[in-house]
Amino acid sequence: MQRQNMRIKRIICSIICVLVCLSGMTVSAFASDSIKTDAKTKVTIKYSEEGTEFFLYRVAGVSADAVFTPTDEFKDYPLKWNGLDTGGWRALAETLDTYVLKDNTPETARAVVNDEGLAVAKNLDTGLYLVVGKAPKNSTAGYTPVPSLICLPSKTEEDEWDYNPTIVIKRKVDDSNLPYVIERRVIKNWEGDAEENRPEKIVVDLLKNGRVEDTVVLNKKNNWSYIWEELDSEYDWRVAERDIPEGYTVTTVLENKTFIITNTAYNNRKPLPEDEHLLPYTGQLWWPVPLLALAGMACLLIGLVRRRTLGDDDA
Amino acid sequence: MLRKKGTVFIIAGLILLAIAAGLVTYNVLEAKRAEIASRDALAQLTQVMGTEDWKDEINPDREMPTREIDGYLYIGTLEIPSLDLKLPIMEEWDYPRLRIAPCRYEGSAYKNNMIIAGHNYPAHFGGIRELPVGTKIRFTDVEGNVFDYTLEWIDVLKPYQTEEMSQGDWDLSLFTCTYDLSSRHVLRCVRDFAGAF
Repeated sequence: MQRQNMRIKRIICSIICVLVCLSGMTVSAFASDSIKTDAKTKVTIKYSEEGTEFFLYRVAGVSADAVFTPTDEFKDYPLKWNGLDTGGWRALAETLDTYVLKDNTPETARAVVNDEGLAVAKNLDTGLYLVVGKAPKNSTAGYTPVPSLICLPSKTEEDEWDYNPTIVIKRKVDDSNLPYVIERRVIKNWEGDAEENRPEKIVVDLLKNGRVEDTVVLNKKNNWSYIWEELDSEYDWRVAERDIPEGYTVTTVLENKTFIITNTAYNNRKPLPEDEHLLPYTGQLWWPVPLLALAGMACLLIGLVRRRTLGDDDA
Repeated sequence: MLRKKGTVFIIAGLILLAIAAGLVTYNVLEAKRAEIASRDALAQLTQVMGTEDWKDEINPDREMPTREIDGYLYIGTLEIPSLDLKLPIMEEWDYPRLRIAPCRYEGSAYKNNMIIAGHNYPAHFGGIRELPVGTKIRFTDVEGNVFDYTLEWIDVLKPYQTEEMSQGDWDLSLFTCTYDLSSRHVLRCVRDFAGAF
């Protein structure tokens, strides 16, 4: 039985790892053997621009059976750490990146890309790491590293734990050097809940290089969205939701010009209300009209006939 | 005695005819009031629709945006050219709202599962019971995003068939009461991506 469970786990782990790799994420926490959680690890980061500085934040510990538990810095954020799909890992990385910036969280390690396109961080505890890159000053590359998550150790193609993995960090077009103002929109998404369970409003901070620059309230009246116009493109603009509603997890991703904050209800939310109602009545009461009219006319006719007959008899 | 009975019949007949006439008057006035209410709402709504430039960013999970008119939230307009009908659509339903305009019963145009309930006033959904399969229908959200549909199927459901109403892979459903109020006449539509409206 245990052997069968292990087999199933291996299959699931493999599928997740393939999905994660396809997405450009680097999380790969599952393999056949248990993780030696007290081991030290080393990671080599491959990136194409020399001088790029990478900051590694240990955001979660990992258990022997590859379950993540957030570290103290992140345990109060209602984030989902396990059982994520490709988009979930990406959203988690972006969300953590914003929190790291907002909270000015000290990095666990840092490494600079050398002339071979490699950056090495050593002597790291096992766990889940957020890897954030910063392009060198006066960079003309036109792109920046994408925030990524990596599990140390990582799984190899042979389904073994690698305590000294090499990861490739993807990059995205850098629009921060564009010499004009930009606009950003924030949209709130709700998932897995009933509308009546939602709070009436949420509060969102706009962060300028990690510091609160503006605060807006999103609610149904503004369609849970807001647009900031004329933001200086030289700064790093992010959004963070304050006081996430109880019973929800949160992710924040930037797609084009839009920040999408998604609050997902987890299983212990109040169940959706039972639909006890019938389909709404959407009709006018017309059907009695002909019946009433016919009955009335019949009565009228009978009455008139009787009166007439009696009148004739009387005469 | 017989003469007295005849008088009773005449009085009863007049009362029944008066009730019928009263019901007709009430329905006609109510329908007229609903027509004016939805027309006013539509006029106001069209002035505030489609002013944003985010048309290409429809996230299926996004809440449908709304505009507030006279204290009620609207999600867009519904057009049926063959009936020369254009109506504002409210964001959620209850009976006071249904007396003003058709309402979203559930679902979202972005998720291709929206269901709209409308009263069978002649100026609301009264005419949809006559529509044939193949009728073109258009929904436009308040940001100006257009969704074209073609009527593919017609259902008749009993009031208790709430689950059946939501079943099936229909991109849009419209429903209203049948004449005798005992059932719901449901139009099932599929999205027309060719935009042949």
